[in-house]
Amino acid sequence: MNQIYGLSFVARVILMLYGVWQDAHMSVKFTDVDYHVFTDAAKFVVEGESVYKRATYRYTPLLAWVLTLNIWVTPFIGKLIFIAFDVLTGHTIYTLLRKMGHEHHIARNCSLFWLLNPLSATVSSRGNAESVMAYLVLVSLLLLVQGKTLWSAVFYGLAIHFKIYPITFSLPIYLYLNGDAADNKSQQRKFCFWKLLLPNRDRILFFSISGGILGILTTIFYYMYGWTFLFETYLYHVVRGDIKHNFSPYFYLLYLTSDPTLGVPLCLRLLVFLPQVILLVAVALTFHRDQPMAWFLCTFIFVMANKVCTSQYFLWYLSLLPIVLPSLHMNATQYLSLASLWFFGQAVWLCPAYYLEFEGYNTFMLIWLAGLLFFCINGMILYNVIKNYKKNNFKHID
Amino acid sequence: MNYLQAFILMLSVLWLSAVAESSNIKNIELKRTLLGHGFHRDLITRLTLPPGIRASLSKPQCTLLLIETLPSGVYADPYQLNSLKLFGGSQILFDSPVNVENAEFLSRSHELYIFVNVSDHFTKDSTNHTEIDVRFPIHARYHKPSPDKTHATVTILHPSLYSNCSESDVTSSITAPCDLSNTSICDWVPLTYLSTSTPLTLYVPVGQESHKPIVILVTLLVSITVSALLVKVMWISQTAKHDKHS
Repeated sequence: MNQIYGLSFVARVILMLYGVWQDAHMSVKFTDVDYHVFTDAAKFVVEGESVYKRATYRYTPLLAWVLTLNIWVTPFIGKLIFIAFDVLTGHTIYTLLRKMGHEHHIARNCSLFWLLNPLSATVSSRGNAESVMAYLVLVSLLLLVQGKTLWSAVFYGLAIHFKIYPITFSLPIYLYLNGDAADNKSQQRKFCFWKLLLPNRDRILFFSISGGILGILTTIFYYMYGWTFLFETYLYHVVRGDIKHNFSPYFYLLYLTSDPTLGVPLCLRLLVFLPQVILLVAVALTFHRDQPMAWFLCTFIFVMANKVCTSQYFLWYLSLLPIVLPSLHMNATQYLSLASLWFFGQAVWLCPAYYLEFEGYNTFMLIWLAGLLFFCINGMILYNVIKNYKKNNFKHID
Repeated sequence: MNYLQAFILMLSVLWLSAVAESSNIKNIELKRTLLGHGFHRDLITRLTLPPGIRASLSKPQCTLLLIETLPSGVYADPYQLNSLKLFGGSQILFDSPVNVENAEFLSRSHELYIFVNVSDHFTKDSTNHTEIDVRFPIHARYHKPSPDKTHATVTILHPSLYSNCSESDVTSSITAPCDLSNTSICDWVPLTYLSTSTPLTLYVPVGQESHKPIVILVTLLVSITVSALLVKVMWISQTAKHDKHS
């Protein structure tokens, strides 16, 4: 496996070096816009200013601190760090699948699905920080599955500090930590219904540790950067009233109903939120015994039914896909047709979006319909994934 | 408001061109073009200096200042312009921080101070005129949905032009930052120019209020139906598993 990791790393570095050429010679830049945002924020750190002086910097100050290396050493350091995390993510996928009891070759192939994926490779070499996030989430999951609740909680808290979406896993985690290994039998489960909900040692441990990590980091940065930190890092993502076109099925609805002063009416906001919540609760109740699948489903649902959805969100579930792949019992045709449907849905959306953004045609209606179509396609993918999923009953290898 | 301003400016331009033709004054000329379609455009301002004026501005410290007012419907991105500077873009200073995400109805107009060093630009051999091009990208903001129009209209007026080495006229000169560093304030003397182009307009696609009922209804119907089906399949897969167990 080490050879594979080495090659993946080298391939991504080559891609990054090609990017240097493209940035210098072409009007379409290779480097991600966010990378400039990180670097600008790091510059403010070096100058002793607040990272939030950089408009649209909506990340933890930790990221800008680490990227001060971009200023001190070379502007490539950040990309190299993201590439390293990208390869580490591949390694974690392999380790996790082995721990779940899968054969070496299956674990290797699924890890390759990530390592050879042009999508993940370009994202990290363009300087997008998503690989750090993918790594934190997967390590937290690995530790949880291994029964190392305490350390899992540490990484879980850190992951939520980076991006808030892993908070959607909290209900499945809570139900999973039932403190009783013999809980699998349905009869006993019914009998001990209170056990399903009441706190126990593991639950208290996990959520106080992850909450504590999150709380400590939040307090430190709140004292350093004040209200701006809270707003830009956490609250912005909750209240964000972005009406620009995006993949979300709700984009046109929110644009049309958004009042200039009051925003979207409360009842509509709740109605838009409802499917997401119902589906997340349903996943927690039905799949909590199987954490890898629960985390994948939660992320997929969160992204597909979110009020804002851009293509970088897709990476969140793509990094969790390899760990459920071995348990999906579908043939090549099914895989291929679902994958092509997914790409087709995006292509159908991109056409009217291009004409709106770059040609100035009024294509809002078409973008909206394409968003709904993509939502239905995602629903269909999810339907097939759930239907053809069989958890392998291997013994855990420790 | 914008329409009125545009109209007055157009009148004055027509008047100026009439004066220019009748008395044959050699004056600075300004031509404006907007490249591209849609939300992302390039704003080009071409100044043509006749030899006489070029000579009066030939001292090395001579700088021209264009003050550009961008209405709330469009914005220039300070960070984008900063990165373009490396490629020989114009030197542009912003009067205030720009929010690059807000919609038109939550934004205000902002001013750009564009500094042009005349000695950087050489005289063209054939006509003896000096042409100065100032070019930078601007972006349209999202606008409020409209009850009847498919596009909102944004009008960008011509910039005002100043110099720091023309004969000083105390009554009409203004104070503005001396240079990009924005550390000191200088007196700037207005220069008149003739313009052959009318104020620029761009048309920004807007949502249709008439779509509202159908969009709300169908979106909620689809999202709730799909979600219900998914909850159902989750439930079935769960009970199927338990049937196997027992």
